[in-house]
Amino acid sequence: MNLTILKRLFARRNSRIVLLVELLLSYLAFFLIISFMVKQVQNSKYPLGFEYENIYKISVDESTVTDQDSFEQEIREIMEFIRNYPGVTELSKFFSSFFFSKGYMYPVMPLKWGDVSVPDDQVNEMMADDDFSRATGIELTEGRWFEPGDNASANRPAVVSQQLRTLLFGNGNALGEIVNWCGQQCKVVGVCRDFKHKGDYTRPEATLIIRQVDVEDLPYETSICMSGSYIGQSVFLRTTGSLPETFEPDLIAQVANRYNGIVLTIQSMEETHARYVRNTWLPLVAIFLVILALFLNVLFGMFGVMWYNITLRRSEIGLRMAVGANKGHIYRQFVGEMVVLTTVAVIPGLILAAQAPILDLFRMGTRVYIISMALAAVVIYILVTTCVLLPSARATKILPAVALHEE
Amino acid sequence: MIILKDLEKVYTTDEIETQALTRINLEVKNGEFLSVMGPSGCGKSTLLNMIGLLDVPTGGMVDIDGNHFDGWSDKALAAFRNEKLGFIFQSFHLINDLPVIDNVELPLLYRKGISGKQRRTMAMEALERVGLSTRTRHYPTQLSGGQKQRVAIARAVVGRPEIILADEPTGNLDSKMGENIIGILEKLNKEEKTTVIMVTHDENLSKRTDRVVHLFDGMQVN
Repeated sequence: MNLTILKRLFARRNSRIVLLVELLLSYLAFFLIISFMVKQVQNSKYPLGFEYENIYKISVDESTVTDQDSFEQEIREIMEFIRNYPGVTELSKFFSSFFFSKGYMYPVMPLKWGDVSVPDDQVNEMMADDDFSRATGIELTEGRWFEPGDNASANRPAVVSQQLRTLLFGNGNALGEIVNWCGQQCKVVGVCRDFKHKGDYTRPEATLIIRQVDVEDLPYETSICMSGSYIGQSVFLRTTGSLPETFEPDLIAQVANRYNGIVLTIQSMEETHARYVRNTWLPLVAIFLVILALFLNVLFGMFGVMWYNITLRRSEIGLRMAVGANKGHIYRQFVGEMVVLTTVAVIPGLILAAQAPILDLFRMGTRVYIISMALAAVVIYILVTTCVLLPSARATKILPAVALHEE
Repeated sequence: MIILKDLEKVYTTDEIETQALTRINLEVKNGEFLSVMGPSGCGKSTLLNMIGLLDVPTGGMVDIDGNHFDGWSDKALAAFRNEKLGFIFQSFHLINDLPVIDNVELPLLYRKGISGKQRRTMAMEALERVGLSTRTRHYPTQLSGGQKQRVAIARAVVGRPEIILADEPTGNLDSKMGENIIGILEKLNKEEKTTVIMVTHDENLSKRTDRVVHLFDGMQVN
């Protein structure tokens, strides 16, 4: 039966070419948008690996600091004041690409351990103080976090994420090993769970965290070891869960009163996270809806073609019924024709879409592409079938005796 | 055997009621070649549609080989048509997008248990019987009227039906071609004992059949 439909499709190829191209383009558009969606969903399956609830990011508006000579001292005093502020349990300073952003921070040279080398663009780099792990809830699986006793260490202490641990040391021992970071010797003191500081819909990265107690003033040899965008110093406050609603304005007011009108900015990480989720999905959903609207246009075209076809082919329907087709056959005939037409468009679509994993066009991973190729085909088939149901049902209502006498 | 008993057909629209057939009583024996004659609009095609189960009578009954069709499902009626009946139409009703061989195979597509290979073999045999085995890849638009009707006959006989219903099969053909077509129908009737019911305007053709039934204004007049 399908072979017959294919033959007919071929016989009418000129009148079908526009519809085929529309279907093909629709398939590719769906494939692309669904790929991004699948990637987001896949990535969201990895645990975030850190906490953002009850955490605030604070910063001092430097333009409000009047005495530049005592700037660093003043900042230290403010930080100490905040650390001891009621409701604050931890305060941590660190330097990295911003949380819930698309920024990145890489070392400028590959990370090395003996003969093993991890390319610089595969290493997410951070610098953090001794309180970072407690402030963010990043868990350690081996060893320990930085501590004041590390001040006496001959090598810079470092913590590596599980992923980086595997890349560098495989199943071997990690603790106490010395890695070469931009020419500096760093000693691995701990291994932490993988985390996704860029957000829920990203993948965890192989991360190297270097101890840097005073991030306001990065030493030269450290500052030349990083390249990136959206990077900078951050201060996280971890607070108890039950804070008064006036916590933020009170803290800002007290800092301003105590320190000559210095303006403190407080940003809830929960709100930052919510904004990140919104900003990630809104464009995707919007684009999906636009594609859907465009595709509906194609479907309406198809609906019209079907309707017109059935009108033109009334006598053929009558003939088919006369020679033994029942209503089910007629129904399947027309639905089948559209399914075959869709398949003819989807096959080149699949071939084109397959170039994405082969050429690794969007760095999403083969699995994401394969799922998206299948999902895009399912979406197209469901929509096409839905669209042809009504005209096909109409075809079955034709009386053969009447249709046979129409030309 | 085909038995029509008090067969009636009334077409009803919002305003008009048209009596297409009135109390038709007819018996057609197996292997008989019957022609139905009458002026245009007298109900000949309606009668053929009733016998072919393409339309439902408003009164009376159609009995084919002991089967009455009251309450038969669409599926059962279609299967019966597929196995027992073959249709030939004045305007051929070939599908122009399909080559001759696929047109002939059409009834077999709706028959269970026949493989693609068997279909092809049966269609080739049917085309050989009408002398068109060299035209299998042609499209209907590439054929003459007589050839088209021979394809239509091949399609009607491919499933080896017991009854052929031919609605003015020579109406669109010149006399030579008409002769050729009637010859094929005669051969089917004589050699394969196929029952043939043919609607025709041509008295000369009707004389070559076993029996002629005349209709006038929806009524049987002989």
